[in-house]
Amino acid sequence: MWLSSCKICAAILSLTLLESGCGTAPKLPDYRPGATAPTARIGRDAAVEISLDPFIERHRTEQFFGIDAVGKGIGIVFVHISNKSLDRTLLVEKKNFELVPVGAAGGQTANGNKIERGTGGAQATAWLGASMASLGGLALIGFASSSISHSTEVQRNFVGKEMPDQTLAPGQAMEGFLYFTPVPKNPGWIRGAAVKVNLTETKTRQPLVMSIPLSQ
Amino acid sequence: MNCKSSLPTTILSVSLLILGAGCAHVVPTSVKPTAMSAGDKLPLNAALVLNKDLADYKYEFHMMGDTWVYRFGEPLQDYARRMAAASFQRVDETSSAEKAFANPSADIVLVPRAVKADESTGLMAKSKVNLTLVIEWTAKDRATQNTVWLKTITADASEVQGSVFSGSKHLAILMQKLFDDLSTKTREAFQNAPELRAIAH
Repeated sequence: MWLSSCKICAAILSLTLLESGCGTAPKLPDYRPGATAPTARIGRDAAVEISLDPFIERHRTEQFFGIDAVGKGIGIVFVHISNKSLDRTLLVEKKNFELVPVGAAGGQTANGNKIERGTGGAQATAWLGASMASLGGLALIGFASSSISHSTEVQRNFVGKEMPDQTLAPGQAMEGFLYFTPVPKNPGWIRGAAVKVNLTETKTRQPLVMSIPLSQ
Repeated sequence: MNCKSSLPTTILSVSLLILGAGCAHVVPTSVKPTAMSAGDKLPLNAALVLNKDLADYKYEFHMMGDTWVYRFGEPLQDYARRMAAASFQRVDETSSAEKAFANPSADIVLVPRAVKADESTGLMAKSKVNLTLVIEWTAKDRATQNTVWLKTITADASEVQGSVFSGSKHLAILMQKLFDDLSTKTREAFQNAPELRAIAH
């Protein structure tokens, strides 16, 4: 009886100790580049300037997204758009940004599979969830707690940082991230690839099409 | 170990199993109107579309077999009414875009849409809950049906999760913070939209 009570006490004590300092979900930092990053590629015409900065360095995706996105096949691209025109308002929608890998049609991988655009967090957290499922036992609760809080924050962070759809009036600028999946699980996914951008002038509905290479 | 001594262990195990079984929790989503600074009202008649998609919008957060349901529809409709009323000279409410475009007195058709929501949290009472809600506003010219203004508002709020006893209080604070952030950002967006001002003048 005494031994059994001791076991229960030990379990409760372990839980109490594990609870302290565990389970918080620290917010991942905002990305606010002061100037155009040296890794950015720029597309220009008379009305608009679009800068695309692919996050192919593991340390950058870990710092701002909490995961090694490259290793998980998630292509992350930071987009900055400036409307340089004097009288044209542009409609900017994520669905009109297509990744075109080398030797492939827009929105497809080289072997013809569709490249989705969306919240890359779902794929990242699916991986974390699979790791979690293999865990069990009280001793692992602390680890599980911090992993859950991390995985939920990774996904929320992807949602919060995604580029918004909006109209862009003359002189205005906007920015945010686009996510493409699946891409090859190495930094080489940008080699020869381009992003095809299709903006619409709101008054005339005239399209403004541009293809911006992601690598030199 | 006799039968008597194993009883507490059994109770603990059964309790853990019961606690671990999936449950759905409905998060209270009632919020008070956000206090807003007075600003100019655009001299436009807006037909505000509060459709079924907005009324039924809910977000489900799943964790360890449990589901937390946020029924955002009602507070989102109230928020949309307040934002439109504070920003336009006259607002007519309708339930569909078709009805709005058929309203001859409307200059623009205003459609708020819930895009998505997401939450991060931990397991412990002092864990922070971070909640994000993304709302999109579209203004269309009633005559041409062209999109003249589109804005995506991303609202964020953080609050301590709280214990079994204080959790409801903290969730109510979280919801209020979220809608305060959403309202402030939306008001600012309406006030600073050159596209809307161009139609008004």
